[in-house]
Amino acid sequence: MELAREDALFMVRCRVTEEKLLRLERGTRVLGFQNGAKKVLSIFGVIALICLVVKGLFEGMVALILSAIGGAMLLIFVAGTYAIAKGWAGTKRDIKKKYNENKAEYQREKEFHFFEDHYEVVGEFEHSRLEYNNIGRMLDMSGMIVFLEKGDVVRFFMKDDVKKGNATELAGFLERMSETKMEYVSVK
Amino acid sequence: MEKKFSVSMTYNENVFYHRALVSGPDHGKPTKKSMLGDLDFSDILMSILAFGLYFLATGGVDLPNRIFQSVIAWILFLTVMRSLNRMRKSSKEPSRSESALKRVAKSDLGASGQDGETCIISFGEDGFLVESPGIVSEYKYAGVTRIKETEEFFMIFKSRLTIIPVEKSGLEDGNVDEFREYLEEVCGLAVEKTAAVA
Repeated sequence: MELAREDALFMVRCRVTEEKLLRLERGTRVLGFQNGAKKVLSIFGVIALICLVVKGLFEGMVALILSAIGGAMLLIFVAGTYAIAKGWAGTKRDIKKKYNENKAEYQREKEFHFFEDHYEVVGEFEHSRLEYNNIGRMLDMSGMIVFLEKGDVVRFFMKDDVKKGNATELAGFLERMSETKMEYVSVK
Repeated sequence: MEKKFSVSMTYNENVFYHRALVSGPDHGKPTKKSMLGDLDFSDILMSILAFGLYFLATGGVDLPNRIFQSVIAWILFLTVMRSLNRMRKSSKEPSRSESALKRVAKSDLGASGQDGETCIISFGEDGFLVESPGIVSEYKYAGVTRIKETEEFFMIFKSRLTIIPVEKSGLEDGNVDEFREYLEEVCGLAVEKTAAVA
């Protein structure tokens, strides 16, 4: 089943680290709900700011109403921001725990060999051979390449983990072979 | 690889339902419920801070009104925190009811892109081979971390997230009891029976 790794056009050697798991989680948050929650909170923040600035132009009841709305929005904004920060701190704790629980597995080296018509994932206890049309989605998370395979399998590695060929060429090659466009996700 | 057992199966909602059934948290000790409900101690501290800040910020207003507004602000803060904590908890610990598991199964099946695909699993001496269209994976028994059994499936855990379902009715050689014994012997693990969902 296995072709010689020397024949591979690109080769990646990697291990799962806590930093990689955190980056993956951040990227997933940018793509999903958490980003939506941030947008909603920003709207509350902007409304609060507008109300508190505009109330200076009015007097009496109007100023009082604007002040109350502004105050309420500001409180929701602060509470939401605090909740998101607290949620992220909890997630970081969970990832650390998950990493420590599965440390032995994560620290095992894994290699990806990319050939002309298929690619192979080789680990101590796994050897998979896959056709490129199994890649359903590809993401570039600021230095980390993530691809989602059929069967809900997520594979990821840093661009620095590319040991044969270079990461930019590999990304282009994967786009061409899987006929999938790379999505860019900015992760800070 | 000398074949000892072989299983043929088709991916459908039932496969993913049983996968969802075994992939949840173990039913160990029930988690202790806090006196504060969905709020944490830090939320209470933050809400007191919010009360204080609001009280200070409304310096121009008469005292009863200031206290009233600050209490409203305090309640509002706690309500927002409670709702957000609930949202976070429900996404971390999804419901385990049958209807919720069926929803998860449907969504996972859609995301997997495997609906209707057939798969053949051949169990050899050192490992097992999973063959589905375009994917051939060989796993070593030494890498199996856990085996769970439901009414219709054996679920082989390669890691916490990678679960390989093996349908009992798809077993082509031998019977379920022989297969269970074989798995326990080659993996050096006891098969854990999963209770059916009430």
